[in-house]
Amino acid sequence: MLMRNKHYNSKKEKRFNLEKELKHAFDTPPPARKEQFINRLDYPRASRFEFISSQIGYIRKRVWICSLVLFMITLICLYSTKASVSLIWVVSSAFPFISLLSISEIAKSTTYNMEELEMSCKYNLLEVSLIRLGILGLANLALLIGIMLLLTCKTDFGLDFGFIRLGLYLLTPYLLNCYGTLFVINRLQSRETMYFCGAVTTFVSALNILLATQVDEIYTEKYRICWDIAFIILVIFCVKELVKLFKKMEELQWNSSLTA
Amino acid sequence: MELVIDRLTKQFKNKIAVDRISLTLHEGVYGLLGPNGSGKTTLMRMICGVLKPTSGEVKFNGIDVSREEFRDALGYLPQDFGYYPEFTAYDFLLYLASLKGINKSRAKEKATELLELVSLSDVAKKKIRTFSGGMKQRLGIAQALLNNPKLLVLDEPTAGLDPKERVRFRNLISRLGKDRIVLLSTHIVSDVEYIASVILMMKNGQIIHKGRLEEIIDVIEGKVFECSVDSRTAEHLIANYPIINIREESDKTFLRLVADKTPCETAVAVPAVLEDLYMYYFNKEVKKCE
Repeated sequence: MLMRNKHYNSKKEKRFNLEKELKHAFDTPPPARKEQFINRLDYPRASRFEFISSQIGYIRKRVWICSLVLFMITLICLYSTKASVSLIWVVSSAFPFISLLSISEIAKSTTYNMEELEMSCKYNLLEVSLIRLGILGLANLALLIGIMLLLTCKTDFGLDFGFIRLGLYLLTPYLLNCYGTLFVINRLQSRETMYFCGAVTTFVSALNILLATQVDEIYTEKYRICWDIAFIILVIFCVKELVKLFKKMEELQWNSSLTA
Repeated sequence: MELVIDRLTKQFKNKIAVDRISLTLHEGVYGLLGPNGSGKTTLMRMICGVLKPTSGEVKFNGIDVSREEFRDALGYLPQDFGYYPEFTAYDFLLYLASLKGINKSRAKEKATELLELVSLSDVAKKKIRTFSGGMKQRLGIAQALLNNPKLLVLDEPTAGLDPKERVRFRNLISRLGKDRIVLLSTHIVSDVEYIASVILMMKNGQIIHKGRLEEIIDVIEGKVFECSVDSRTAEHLIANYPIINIREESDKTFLRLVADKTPCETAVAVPAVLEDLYMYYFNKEVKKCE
């Protein structure tokens, strides 16, 4: 057994020595066109799902924090105070600020002059914006439904107004602000655009408070038709402005620097 | 590998920025040279799909500029680009890698590798807003290389780089041009002279010259003169000829200028360089800019 092991080891040693000798005897030829070969290799691609999920991380934290804060405030108001109709205008006046945050996410490419870089990428500005809009739209919808559920479960609003009417009161100021801010974004193109949008949001919120506090019975059946009409008109206007915005994202907008 | 530009035109209101340009580019470095307002940036933006042409088309290996596959093969450095204020250099590269469809682990590797390449590794975790112009430009070059592009379009890539970085960048571009199409625009003549295998000269939205350095310089050969003259003659020459260089000497003025025939008795014809040609073609524009 010992002899056999010894024989095996010497054979292994001989082979190792031979390999070593060969390495010394022949110079390894330098790699030809190594870089070109490596360049031809494809890089690992992200799947579309990976790409979409990665975009959630690029939505600024303040959007999520503000949505959560609004939800928590509604929750606290419901438990700590006696719920009255005034809670509707309080919540609906806060909603435009949520839409402002969402719109600012869509407009940030222009605000920070990233649009040219983003337009030239595989997933271009238009696709990225559509994905972000989808994510933010779903998040806003979840917030709205969450608040509506809270309001209907914890108050008599569900019985008095019904789920859809409650949604109408909360969504109309939100849509008015969406339309206003989109209108501004589609017509102004500068870093200051978001300040104008902020002004629009403050105006919409203040208008909502003013109407709710000054017009008696605004949340009654008497004004239902006005709410319905306003809602439908605003949905149409918002869609029109969104289409305009997406068309703008297909190419860089003309300004005097483009002729340079 | 082939980039075909066919009768590409862009009109902004009443100004034609790019006027029916047709080109076919293969592997190599192409230097687009022209004064401000000649249409270089507009042409590059159309090649990258950022601007839609008024007419004409751009195709890379038969793929139209509007398609995702085209953008997948493209690396682009715009003349001026911004960044999100919360981004560090590393975040910026990871973000653009995600838009270029690179998976996360590869993006991290590539971002680290490219930050090293452009000497920004030590500031990788610093906010971009703290960067100098040159550092930002190097970061821009890094992002253009993230997806190992087959078509690399660089608009004024050396703007803001110091001389050492400029030389490093030139060497990098020369290497990259071996197996891909690199199109770079600049009005810095020496950049093009050193790295471009083919020079494209642009004026008023049109390509007025295309060729290798020695081919296009041929036009001006024998028309470049040097002389040392008194101040009165110097004034006369400066007013009438495209001047490439002026140097005040003890009692005379040294001039290098372009002229169709000997401008003065003491003038001696010297071999032409690209800068001479540039001045020869764009003297009017230069004077206008001044």
